[in-house]
Amino acid sequence: MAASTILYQQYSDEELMPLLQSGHRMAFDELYKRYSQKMFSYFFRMLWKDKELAEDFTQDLFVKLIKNAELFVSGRQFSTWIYSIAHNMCKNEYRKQHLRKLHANQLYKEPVSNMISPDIKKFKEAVHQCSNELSEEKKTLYILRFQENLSVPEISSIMNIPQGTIKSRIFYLLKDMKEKLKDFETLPIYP
Amino acid sequence: MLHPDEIIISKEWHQLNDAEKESLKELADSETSFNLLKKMLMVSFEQNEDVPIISQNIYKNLEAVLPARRMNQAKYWYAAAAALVIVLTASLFLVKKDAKNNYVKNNTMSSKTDSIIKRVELAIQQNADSSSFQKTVDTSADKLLVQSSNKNKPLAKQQPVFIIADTTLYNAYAFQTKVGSAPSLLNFITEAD
Repeated sequence: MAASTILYQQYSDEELMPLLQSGHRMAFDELYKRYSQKMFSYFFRMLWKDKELAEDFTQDLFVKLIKNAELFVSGRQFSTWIYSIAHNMCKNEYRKQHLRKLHANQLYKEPVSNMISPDIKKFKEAVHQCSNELSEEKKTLYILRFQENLSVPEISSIMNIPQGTIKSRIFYLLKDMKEKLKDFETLPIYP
Repeated sequence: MLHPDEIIISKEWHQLNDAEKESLKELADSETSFNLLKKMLMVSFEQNEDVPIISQNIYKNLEAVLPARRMNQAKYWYAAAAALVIVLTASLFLVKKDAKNNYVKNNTMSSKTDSIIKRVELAIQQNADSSSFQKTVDTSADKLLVQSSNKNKPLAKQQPVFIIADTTLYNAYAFQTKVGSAPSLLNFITEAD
């Protein structure tokens, strides 16, 4: 591995951004390596598990990063900044209502496996369906908190919503989903 | 204290303390509902495994967008700055070198100047006590005096004719020149009546 690649690996995201702003190509390469799969994963879940659409959005996101690198303000956390750009991109996409309706009833296709019991399979499908029917804001919260594992302050920064509101929304999201999945309360799927 | 979802995912029902049970009261008032939420959170997190790997074409497409000139521009700025520093440093050295020689353009003396100085030094040695004779010189008259004394002499024995600024030199020539050796000087002597 080239010494220069190792050097860039040692930089934090926030240290790489000024280098990217001044034209260091390898700074971009390192940021792409760190965030491309993560952001693709976010788009994949937000955009109805459409792989091609998620890849297009990922590409657009990094184009925005290249062209608007100077907009990154030092002192800010890079991860929340890039997530907030992705969040806004998804918000714009969700405004296209006809797409929401098209994907609202999309069935979850569980990967083929003989190891999974029918009950677990059903439960997974139910959870997927439940998350798919969430509004754009609740779905974002669901993905960022329960799948990306981000903290309340990070989510607050990404969605530009106060932390107290985020806590409250997480609480009510759990409550809503539990209500929708209450039929599975007695199923012995948890060891 | 942990958030409700953090409590649910990290603990079992029997591990909860009273404060935690109180905080989860609205969400899960029993072990059954607690476990349901736990299952839901675990399944939600497992869905990460369903995400495919991003295509490598994405990066290739981005390479076309990355402007090469912008990325390499820094090199040229560094080169220009280095060249400027070298030029400034070199010019400083040149100025210093010239400054040393400002006042001495030519250290070598001409043979003519050297011979004059030697003659003067000789005259001074021969007439050691020149302080008793302080001549006020008329430059043009002295010049005539020397010129006239040289008139009939061969070149080798002729005295150099030049304007003397130094009174010591004037004194030396004044002593060297005798009236007897310059008949034209007699013209300056007024015969008493």
